[in-house]
Amino acid sequence: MDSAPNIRKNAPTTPRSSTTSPIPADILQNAKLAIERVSSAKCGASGVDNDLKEELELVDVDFLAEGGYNVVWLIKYRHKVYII
Amino acid sequence: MQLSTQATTDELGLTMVKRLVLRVPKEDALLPHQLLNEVAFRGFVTKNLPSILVPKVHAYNLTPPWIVEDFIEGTLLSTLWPRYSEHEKEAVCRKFAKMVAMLGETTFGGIGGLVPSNKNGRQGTELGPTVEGCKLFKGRGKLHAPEFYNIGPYKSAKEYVLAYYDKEIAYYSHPVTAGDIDMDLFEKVQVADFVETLRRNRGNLQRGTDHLSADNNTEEEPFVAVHGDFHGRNILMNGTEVNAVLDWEFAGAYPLSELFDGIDVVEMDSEEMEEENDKWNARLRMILKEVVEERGWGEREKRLLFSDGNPVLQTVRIEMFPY
Repeated sequence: MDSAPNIRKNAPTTPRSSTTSPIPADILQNAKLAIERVSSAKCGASGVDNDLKEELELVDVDFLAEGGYNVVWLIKYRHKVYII
Repeated sequence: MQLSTQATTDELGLTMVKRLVLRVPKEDALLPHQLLNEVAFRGFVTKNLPSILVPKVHAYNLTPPWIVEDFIEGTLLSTLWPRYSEHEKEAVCRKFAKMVAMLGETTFGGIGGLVPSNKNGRQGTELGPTVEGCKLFKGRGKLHAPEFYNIGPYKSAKEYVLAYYDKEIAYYSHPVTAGDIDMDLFEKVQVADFVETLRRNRGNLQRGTDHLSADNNTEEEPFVAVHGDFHGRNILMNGTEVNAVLDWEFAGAYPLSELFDGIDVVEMDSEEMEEENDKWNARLRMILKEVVEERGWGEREKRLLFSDGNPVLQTVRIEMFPY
């Protein structure tokens, strides 16, 4: 029988594990979408000078860690700021 | 030309490879509330408790669910802890005690998680449904929706406790979770009889005739910020400095007596590590007493903080067994 979660901690205690399996296609897709979202947010940011342009481009995704309710991936992205 | 904070002269015309973190909830997460709570709570902490460092959320998405946040350099506390000297462990405990005290000084008007809000174009946060492990295990997460029971926010501790009964009544009554019920628990009692017992207990509590409600002023506790998953794998360190506190998905506004139950600084994978956690939790408790004293906490708040928790909540927040 599974034990109920600790009453004084909201999160259940679950085993942590690691994986070496290939990066799933949906994770890559999510990473691309995320970078696009962050990139467009940066371009629209009021603090960015009108003469500057920022570009973000996905380079790579790696498995980083697995917790109870999340799988955490490392996104490597190319960040470029240049004068327009 | 004036440069923004997002660009430095070094970056002009240069291409740099940087890192972000993509956090993807597993299938059994309480969505969308778990993700929204993580995003909103980090925003709340950044704005209201800036000395508690959290990774900045850059973007999030609900379908499919993900969060993109800063990659923070550091080593997990659980990894570093065995390398610390006793003096360093003391220093780190004092930092945690201050964090706990600051969370305890952050009050809310009810019990709940947080959700991002947008009022008149101003981004902020407001109380939303609670996100708790005890509301998702053994299939209970399937019923985490307002049509099954009140998932919060709650105006009072009593409302919160009654919702726990409603959750269990729904869990043992609804066809959606029929296959999730642990039938080993029902060798001597029928499920339907147990549901009746739950209904009766709920009624007693609502009418105030339950012995638990008679003994405890659950209505009067302040509701404070609680991390909900504070341990050595969720704290990123640089030496003895805290670089970031991670995983706010189970955070929320809860009664003060639920705030502090120690911090497991190391993985409890051996008797020795268990003893280490016990030793330093006892020490942390002493340091926390000093810290809240220094910060001028009242006697009642101190008593609630160091109590063994609210017995009413402790009864309902664990699995309710039919015996």
